[in-house]
Amino acid sequence: MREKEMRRVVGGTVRRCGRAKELLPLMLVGEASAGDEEFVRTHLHECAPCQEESERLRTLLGGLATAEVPDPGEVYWSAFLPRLRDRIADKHPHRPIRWTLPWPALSVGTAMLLMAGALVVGWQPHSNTPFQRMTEITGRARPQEIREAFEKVYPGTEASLPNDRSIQVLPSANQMQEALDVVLPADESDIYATVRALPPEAQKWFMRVSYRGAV
Amino acid sequence: MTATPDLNERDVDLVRRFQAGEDRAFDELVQAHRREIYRLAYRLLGNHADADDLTQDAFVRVYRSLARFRKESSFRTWMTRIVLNLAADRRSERTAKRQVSLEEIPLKELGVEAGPAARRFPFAERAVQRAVGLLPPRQRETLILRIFQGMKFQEIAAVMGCTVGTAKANFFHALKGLRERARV
Repeated sequence: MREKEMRRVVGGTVRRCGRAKELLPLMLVGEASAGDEEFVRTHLHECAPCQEESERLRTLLGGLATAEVPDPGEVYWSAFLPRLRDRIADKHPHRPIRWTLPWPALSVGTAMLLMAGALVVGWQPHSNTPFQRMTEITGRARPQEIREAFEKVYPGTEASLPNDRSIQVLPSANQMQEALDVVLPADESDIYATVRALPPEAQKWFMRVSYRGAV
Repeated sequence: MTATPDLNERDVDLVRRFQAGEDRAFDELVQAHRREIYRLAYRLLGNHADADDLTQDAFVRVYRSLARFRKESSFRTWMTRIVLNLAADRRSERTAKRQVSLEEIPLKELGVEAGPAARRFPFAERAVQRAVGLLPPRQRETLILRIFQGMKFQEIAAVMGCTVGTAKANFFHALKGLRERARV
Protein backbone atom coordinates (compact mmCIF):
# COMPACT_ATOMS: atom_id res chain seq x y z
CA MET A 1 0.00 0.00 0.00
CA ARG A 2 1.31 3.44 -0.81
CA GLU A 3 2.33 5.94 1.84
CA LYS A 4 -0.48 8.37 1.00
CA GLU A 5 -3.13 5.70 1.19
CA MET A 6 -1.78 4.38 4.47
CA ARG A 7 -1.73 7.75 6.12
CA ARG A 8 -5.31 8.15 7.19
CA VAL A 9 -7.26 9.18 10.26
CA VAL A 10 -9.01 6.54 12.33
CA GLY A 11 -10.67 7.45 15.64
CA GLY A 12 -8.76 10.70 15.85
CA THR A 13 -5.33 8.98 15.55
CA VAL A 14 -3.14 9.75 12.59
CA ARG A 15 -1.58 6.56 11.28
CA ARG A 16 2.05 7.18 10.62
CA CYS A 17 3.00 4.02 8.75
CA GLY A 18 6.18 5.47 7.29
CA ARG A 19 7.56 6.44 10.66
CA ALA A 20 6.46 3.16 12.23
CA LYS A 21 8.25 1.20 9.51
CA GLU A 22 11.41 3.16 10.12
CA LEU A 23 11.29 2.53 13.84
CA LEU A 24 10.15 -1.08 13.68
CA PRO A 25 13.57 -2.66 13.01
CA LEU A 26 15.09 -0.63 15.84
CA MET A 27 12.33 -1.74 18.18
CA LEU A 28 12.76 -5.39 17.22
CA VAL A 29 16.47 -5.29 18.05
CA GLY A 30 15.80 -3.43 21.28
CA GLU A 31 17.30 -0.09 20.33
CA ALA A 32 14.28 2.16 20.00
CA SER A 33 13.76 4.78 22.70
CA ALA A 34 10.89 4.23 25.14
CA GLY A 35 8.84 6.92 23.39
CA ASP A 36 9.43 5.48 19.93
CA GLU A 37 8.61 1.98 21.13
CA GLU A 38 5.36 3.19 22.62
CA PHE A 39 4.52 4.92 19.35
CA VAL A 40 5.17 1.78 17.30
CA ARG A 41 3.22 -0.49 19.65
CA THR A 42 0.21 1.81 19.58
CA HIS A 43 0.44 2.04 15.82
CA LEU A 44 0.65 -1.74 15.38
CA HIS A 45 -2.56 -2.16 17.39
CA GLU A 46 -4.38 0.00 14.91
CA CYS A 47 -2.77 -0.89 11.60
CA ALA A 48 -3.09 -4.40 10.20
CA PRO A 49 -0.61 -3.97 7.29
CA CYS A 50 2.08 -2.73 9.67
CA GLN A 51 1.33 -5.60 12.01
CA GLU A 52 1.91 -8.00 9.11
CA GLU A 53 5.11 -6.17 8.28
CA SER A 54 6.19 -6.54 11.88
CA GLU A 55 5.58 -10.30 11.77
CA ARG A 56 7.56 -10.67 8.55
CA LEU A 57 10.47 -8.74 10.02
CA ARG A 58 10.34 -10.82 13.19
CA THR A 59 10.49 -14.00 11.09
CA LEU A 60 13.41 -12.66 9.09
CA LEU A 61 15.38 -11.58 12.15
CA GLY A 62 14.60 -14.88 13.88
CA GLY A 63 15.84 -16.79 10.84
CA LEU A 64 19.01 -14.73 10.70
CA ALA A 65 19.74 -15.20 14.37
CA THR A 66 19.60 -18.99 14.05
CA ALA A 67 21.92 -19.19 11.03
CA GLU A 68 25.06 -20.38 12.80
CA VAL A 69 28.60 -20.49 11.53
CA PRO A 70 29.86 -24.10 11.65
CA ASP A 71 32.53 -24.40 14.31
CA PRO A 72 35.76 -25.73 12.82
CA GLY A 73 36.31 -28.00 15.83
CA GLU A 74 38.74 -28.42 18.68
CA VAL A 75 41.53 -29.79 16.48
CA TYR A 76 41.46 -26.54 14.57
CA TRP A 77 41.39 -24.38 17.69
CA SER A 78 44.19 -26.25 19.39
CA ALA A 79 46.43 -25.60 16.38
CA PHE A 80 45.30 -22.00 15.97
CA LEU A 81 47.80 -20.27 18.23
CA PRO A 82 50.87 -22.27 17.12
CA ARG A 83 49.97 -21.52 13.49
CA LEU A 84 49.52 -17.87 14.33
CA ARG A 85 52.91 -17.78 16.02
CA ASP A 86 54.41 -19.36 12.89
CA ARG A 87 52.75 -16.75 10.77
CA ILE A 88 53.93 -13.91 12.95
CA ALA A 89 57.45 -15.30 12.78
CA ASP A 90 57.10 -15.48 8.97
CA LYS A 91 55.78 -11.97 8.55
CA HIS A 92 57.24 -10.27 11.52
CA PRO A 93 60.41 -11.76 12.94
CA HIS A 94 60.63 -9.37 15.87
CA ARG A 95 58.37 -7.35 18.13
CA PRO A 96 57.46 -3.93 16.72
CA ILE A 97 60.58 -1.85 16.22
CA ARG A 98 61.24 0.63 18.95
CA TRP A 99 64.12 2.99 18.54
CA THR A 100 65.75 2.33 21.84
CA LEU A 101 69.24 3.02 20.53
CA PRO A 102 70.35 6.62 20.94
CA TRP A 103 71.40 6.85 17.33
CA PRO A 104 69.06 5.26 14.76
CA ALA A 105 71.90 5.57 12.26
CA LEU A 106 73.81 2.99 14.28
CA SER A 107 70.93 0.50 13.87
CA VAL A 108 70.74 1.12 10.14
CA GLY A 109 74.47 0.61 9.86
CA THR A 110 74.27 -2.66 11.82
CA ALA A 111 71.44 -3.89 9.59
CA MET A 112 73.46 -3.09 6.48
CA LEU A 113 76.44 -4.96 7.84
CA LEU A 114 74.26 -7.99 8.63
CA MET A 115 72.76 -7.94 5.12
CA ALA A 116 76.20 -7.73 3.56
CA GLY A 117 77.28 -10.69 5.70
CA ALA A 118 74.19 -12.67 4.69
CA LEU A 119 74.91 -12.07 1.01
CA VAL A 120 78.46 -13.31 1.48
CA VAL A 121 77.27 -16.63 2.98
CA GLY A 122 74.66 -17.07 0.23
CA TRP A 123 71.50 -16.47 2.24
CA GLN A 124 68.35 -15.81 0.20
CA PRO A 125 65.10 -14.41 1.47
CA HIS A 126 61.94 -16.58 1.44
CA SER A 127 59.22 -15.91 -1.08
CA ASN A 128 56.80 -13.14 -0.25
CA THR A 129 53.88 -15.02 1.23
CA PRO A 130 53.22 -18.40 2.82
CA PHE A 131 50.91 -19.20 -0.08
CA GLN A 132 53.59 -18.52 -2.64
CA ARG A 133 55.95 -20.68 -0.65
CA MET A 134 53.43 -23.52 -0.49
CA THR A 135 52.72 -23.22 -4.19
CA GLU A 136 56.41 -23.44 -4.91
CA ILE A 137 56.74 -26.42 -2.63
CA THR A 138 53.78 -28.32 -4.03
CA GLY A 139 54.88 -27.45 -7.56
CA ARG A 140 58.09 -29.37 -6.97
CA ALA A 141 56.61 -32.42 -5.25
CA ARG A 142 55.40 -35.74 -6.62
CA PRO A 143 51.88 -36.98 -5.72
CA GLN A 144 53.06 -39.74 -3.43
CA GLU A 145 55.28 -37.29 -1.65
CA ILE A 146 52.45 -34.90 -0.99
CA ARG A 147 50.44 -37.74 0.45
CA GLU A 148 53.34 -38.70 2.66
CA ALA A 149 53.76 -35.09 3.71
CA PHE A 150 50.09 -34.88 4.66
CA GLU A 151 50.44 -38.10 6.57
CA LYS A 152 53.32 -36.53 8.43
CA VAL A 153 51.44 -33.33 9.21
CA TYR A 154 48.26 -35.22 10.11
CA PRO A 155 49.16 -38.74 11.20
CA GLY A 156 46.41 -41.17 10.25
CA THR A 157 45.03 -39.02 7.43
CA GLU A 158 45.90 -41.42 4.66
CA ALA A 159 44.83 -44.49 6.56
CA SER A 160 41.37 -43.04 7.09
CA LEU A 161 40.86 -41.45 3.67
CA PRO A 162 37.55 -43.06 2.63
CA ASN A 163 35.71 -42.36 5.89
CA ASP A 164 37.31 -39.44 7.59
CA ARG A 165 36.32 -36.27 5.78
CA SER A 166 36.88 -33.99 8.70
CA ILE A 167 40.33 -32.46 8.31
CA GLN A 168 39.68 -29.10 9.82
CA VAL A 169 43.11 -27.59 10.19
CA LEU A 170 44.88 -26.04 7.28
CA PRO A 171 48.60 -26.67 7.49
CA SER A 172 50.81 -23.65 7.76
CA ALA A 173 53.53 -22.97 5.24
CA ASN A 174 56.12 -23.97 7.81
CA GLN A 175 54.41 -27.28 8.58
CA MET A 176 54.20 -28.15 4.92
CA GLN A 177 57.72 -27.04 4.28
CA GLU A 178 59.07 -29.17 7.11
CA ALA A 179 57.06 -32.18 6.01
CA LEU A 180 58.01 -31.85 2.36
CA ASP A 181 61.64 -31.18 3.10
CA VAL A 182 61.85 -34.77 4.30
CA VAL A 183 60.39 -36.40 1.20
CA LEU A 184 61.03 -33.94 -1.58
CA PRO A 185 63.20 -34.71 -4.57
CA ALA A 186 63.35 -32.07 -7.29
CA ASP A 187 60.69 -33.31 -9.70
CA GLU A 188 57.62 -32.14 -11.64
CA SER A 189 54.39 -33.77 -10.63
CA ASP A 190 50.67 -34.11 -11.28
CA ILE A 191 49.41 -32.29 -8.22
CA TYR A 192 45.72 -32.52 -9.07
CA ALA A 193 45.67 -36.29 -9.45
CA THR A 194 46.89 -36.41 -5.89
CA VAL A 195 44.58 -33.71 -4.74
CA ARG A 196 41.54 -35.61 -5.98
CA ALA A 197 42.51 -38.49 -3.73
CA LEU A 198 42.67 -36.31 -0.61
CA PRO A 199 39.80 -35.52 1.79
CA PRO A 200 37.52 -32.61 0.80
CA GLU A 201 39.00 -30.07 3.19
CA ALA A 202 42.49 -30.87 1.99
CA GLN A 203 41.26 -30.61 -1.60
CA LYS A 204 39.82 -27.20 -0.88
CA TRP A 205 43.10 -26.13 0.60
CA PHE A 206 44.99 -27.18 -2.51
CA MET A 207 42.44 -25.53 -4.76
CA ARG A 208 42.90 -22.39 -2.75
CA VAL A 209 46.66 -22.54 -3.02
CA SER A 210 46.33 -23.04 -6.74
CA TYR A 211 44.00 -20.07 -7.10
CA ARG A 212 46.38 -17.91 -5.16
CA GLY A 213 49.36 -19.13 -7.09
CA ALA A 214 47.91 -19.28 -10.57
CA VAL A 215 45.75 -16.19 -10.91
CA MET B 1 27.54 -9.88 22.24
CA THR B 2 28.33 -6.40 23.44
CA ALA B 3 31.56 -6.26 25.38
CA THR B 4 30.73 -6.07 29.08
CA PRO B 5 32.77 -3.79 31.36
CA ASP B 6 34.48 -6.92 32.78
CA LEU B 7 35.62 -8.07 29.35
CA ASN B 8 36.72 -4.56 28.52
CA GLU B 9 38.77 -4.40 31.70
CA ARG B 10 40.35 -7.74 30.91
CA ASP B 11 41.28 -6.51 27.43
CA VAL B 12 42.65 -3.25 28.79
CA ASP B 13 44.78 -5.19 31.26
CA LEU B 14 46.07 -7.58 28.58
CA VAL B 15 46.90 -4.73 26.21
CA ARG B 16 48.71 -2.88 29.00
CA ARG B 17 50.73 -6.01 29.84
CA PHE B 18 51.64 -6.58 26.19
CA GLN B 19 52.70 -2.97 25.80
CA ALA B 20 54.85 -3.38 28.88
CA GLY B 21 56.68 -6.20 27.10
CA GLU B 22 54.80 -9.30 28.30
CA ASP B 23 54.45 -11.27 25.06
CA ARG B 24 52.21 -13.91 26.62
CA ALA B 25 49.47 -11.34 27.09
CA PHE B 26 48.99 -11.43 23.32
CA ASP B 27 48.27 -15.18 23.47
CA GLU B 28 45.58 -14.51 26.05
CA LEU B 29 44.03 -11.85 23.83
CA VAL B 30 43.98 -14.34 20.97
CA GLN B 31 42.37 -17.04 23.10
CA ALA B 32 39.75 -14.57 24.27
CA HIS B 33 38.76 -13.23 20.85
CA ARG B 34 39.64 -15.84 18.23
CA ARG B 35 36.22 -17.56 18.03
CA GLU B 36 34.31 -14.30 17.72
CA ILE B 37 36.73 -13.02 15.10
CA TYR B 38 36.55 -16.29 13.15
CA ARG B 39 32.74 -16.16 13.14
CA LEU B 40 32.79 -12.55 11.96
CA ALA B 41 35.30 -13.40 9.22
CA TYR B 42 33.21 -16.38 8.14
CA ARG B 43 30.08 -14.28 7.89
CA LEU B 44 31.91 -11.63 5.90
CA LEU B 45 33.62 -14.00 3.46
CA GLY B 46 31.38 -17.06 3.48
CA ASN B 47 33.79 -19.99 3.75
CA HIS B 48 36.19 -21.62 6.17
CA ALA B 49 39.40 -21.24 4.18
CA ASP B 50 39.02 -17.47 3.75
CA ALA B 51 37.75 -17.02 7.30
CA ASP B 52 40.76 -18.91 8.66
CA ASP B 53 43.19 -16.88 6.58
CA LEU B 54 41.53 -13.61 7.52
CA THR B 55 41.40 -14.46 11.23
CA GLN B 56 45.09 -15.31 11.26
CA ASP B 57 45.98 -12.17 9.30
CA ALA B 58 43.90 -10.00 11.60
CA PHE B 59 45.79 -11.25 14.66
CA VAL B 60 49.12 -10.79 12.88
CA ARG B 61 48.13 -7.19 12.25
CA VAL B 62 47.03 -6.78 15.86
CA TYR B 63 50.37 -8.12 17.03
CA ARG B 64 52.19 -5.67 14.80
CA SER B 65 50.13 -2.65 15.82
CA LEU B 66 49.27 -3.35 19.44
CA ALA B 67 52.29 -1.47 20.74
CA ARG B 68 50.86 1.67 19.16
CA PHE B 69 47.22 1.05 20.18
CA ARG B 70 46.18 4.16 22.12
CA LYS B 71 42.94 2.84 23.65
CA GLU B 72 40.85 5.59 22.09
CA SER B 73 38.29 2.86 21.41
CA SER B 74 37.82 -0.55 23.01
CA PHE B 75 40.12 -3.34 21.89
CA ARG B 76 37.11 -5.17 20.45
CA THR B 77 36.05 -2.14 18.39
CA TRP B 78 39.60 -1.69 17.13
CA MET B 79 39.99 -5.36 16.26
CA THR B 80 36.61 -5.45 14.48
CA ARG B 81 37.69 -2.48 12.37
CA ILE B 82 40.84 -4.39 11.38
CA VAL B 83 38.75 -7.40 10.35
CA LEU B 84 36.37 -5.27 8.27
CA ASN B 85 39.28 -3.57 6.50
CA LEU B 86 40.98 -6.87 5.73
CA ALA B 87 37.71 -8.36 4.50
CA ALA B 88 37.19 -5.37 2.22
CA ASP B 89 40.72 -5.88 0.82
CA ARG B 90 39.96 -9.55 0.21
CA ARG B 91 36.74 -8.74 -1.58
CA SER B 92 38.45 -6.25 -3.88
CA GLU B 93 41.19 -8.80 -4.60
CA ARG B 94 38.51 -11.35 -5.41
CA THR B 95 36.75 -8.93 -7.72
CA ALA B 96 40.00 -7.91 -9.41
CA LYS B 97 41.03 -11.51 -9.97
CA ARG B 98 37.48 -12.71 -10.59
CA GLN B 99 38.23 -15.33 -7.99
CA VAL B 100 35.25 -17.38 -6.89
CA SER B 101 34.84 -18.49 -3.32
CA LEU B 102 35.08 -22.26 -3.13
CA GLU B 103 31.80 -22.27 -1.23
CA GLU B 104 30.18 -20.89 -4.36
CA ILE B 105 31.42 -23.73 -6.57
CA PRO B 106 29.05 -26.70 -6.55
CA LEU B 107 30.76 -29.53 -4.69
CA LYS B 108 30.24 -31.79 -7.71
CA GLU B 109 32.51 -29.54 -9.76
CA LEU B 110 35.23 -30.05 -7.19
CA GLY B 111 34.70 -33.78 -7.47
CA VAL B 112 33.76 -34.19 -3.83
CA GLU B 113 30.67 -35.27 -1.99
CA ALA B 114 28.74 -32.95 0.28
CA GLY B 115 30.45 -33.28 3.65
CA PRO B 116 29.21 -32.59 7.17
CA ALA B 117 29.68 -28.84 6.76
CA ALA B 118 27.31 -28.77 3.80
CA ARG B 119 24.75 -30.81 5.71
CA ARG B 120 24.85 -28.30 8.55
CA PHE B 121 23.56 -25.63 6.18
CA PRO B 122 20.02 -26.48 5.14
CA PHE B 123 18.83 -24.81 1.97
CA ALA B 124 16.87 -21.99 3.65
CA GLU B 125 19.85 -20.94 5.75
CA ARG B 126 22.12 -20.96 2.73
CA ALA B 127 19.58 -18.85 0.83
CA VAL B 128 19.58 -16.29 3.64
CA GLN B 129 23.37 -16.39 3.82
CA ARG B 130 23.57 -15.85 0.08
CA ALA B 131 21.08 -12.99 0.30
CA VAL B 132 23.20 -11.38 3.04
CA GLY B 133 26.21 -11.78 0.77
CA LEU B 134 24.45 -9.85 -1.99
CA LEU B 135 23.82 -6.75 0.11
CA PRO B 136 25.98 -3.66 -0.50
CA PRO B 137 29.12 -3.87 1.70
CA ARG B 138 28.23 -1.20 4.30
CA GLN B 139 24.73 -2.61 4.76
CA ARG B 140 26.03 -6.16 5.00
CA GLU B 141 28.67 -5.19 7.56
CA THR B 142 26.14 -3.27 9.65
CA LEU B 143 23.71 -6.18 9.59
CA ILE B 144 26.39 -8.69 10.56
CA LEU B 145 27.72 -6.53 13.38
CA ARG B 146 24.24 -5.87 14.76
CA ILE B 147 22.60 -9.27 14.39
CA PHE B 148 25.46 -11.72 14.69
CA GLN B 149 28.07 -9.85 16.70
CA GLY B 150 25.41 -8.24 18.90
CA MET B 151 26.95 -4.77 18.71
CA LYS B 152 24.91 -1.71 19.58
CA PHE B 153 24.56 0.95 16.90
CA GLN B 154 26.86 3.26 18.81
CA GLU B 155 29.64 0.67 18.69
CA ILE B 156 28.92 -0.10 15.03
CA ALA B 157 29.24 3.61 14.26
CA ALA B 158 32.61 3.66 16.02
CA VAL B 159 33.80 0.60 14.10
CA MET B 160 32.64 1.89 10.74
CA GLY B 161 33.56 5.52 11.24
CA CYS B 162 30.05 6.88 10.67
CA THR B 163 27.29 8.47 12.71
CA VAL B 164 24.81 6.42 14.74
CA GLY B 165 22.08 7.67 12.39
CA THR B 166 23.94 6.33 9.36
CA ALA B 167 24.45 2.98 11.07
CA LYS B 168 20.72 2.77 11.79
CA ALA B 169 19.87 3.75 8.22
CA ASN B 170 22.25 1.09 6.87
CA PHE B 171 20.58 -1.49 9.09
CA PHE B 172 17.12 -0.42 7.92
CA HIS B 173 18.11 -0.67 4.25
CA ALA B 174 19.89 -3.99 4.83
CA LEU B 175 16.73 -5.54 6.25
CA LYS B 176 14.69 -4.09 3.43
CA GLY B 177 17.10 -5.46 0.85
CA LEU B 178 17.21 -8.81 2.54
CA ARG B 179 13.44 -9.06 2.59
CA GLU B 180 13.29 -8.35 -1.11
CA ARG B 181 16.01 -10.83 -1.95
CA ALA B 182 14.94 -13.61 0.38
CA ARG B 183 11.26 -12.91 -0.37
CA VAL B 184 10.27 -13.13 3.28
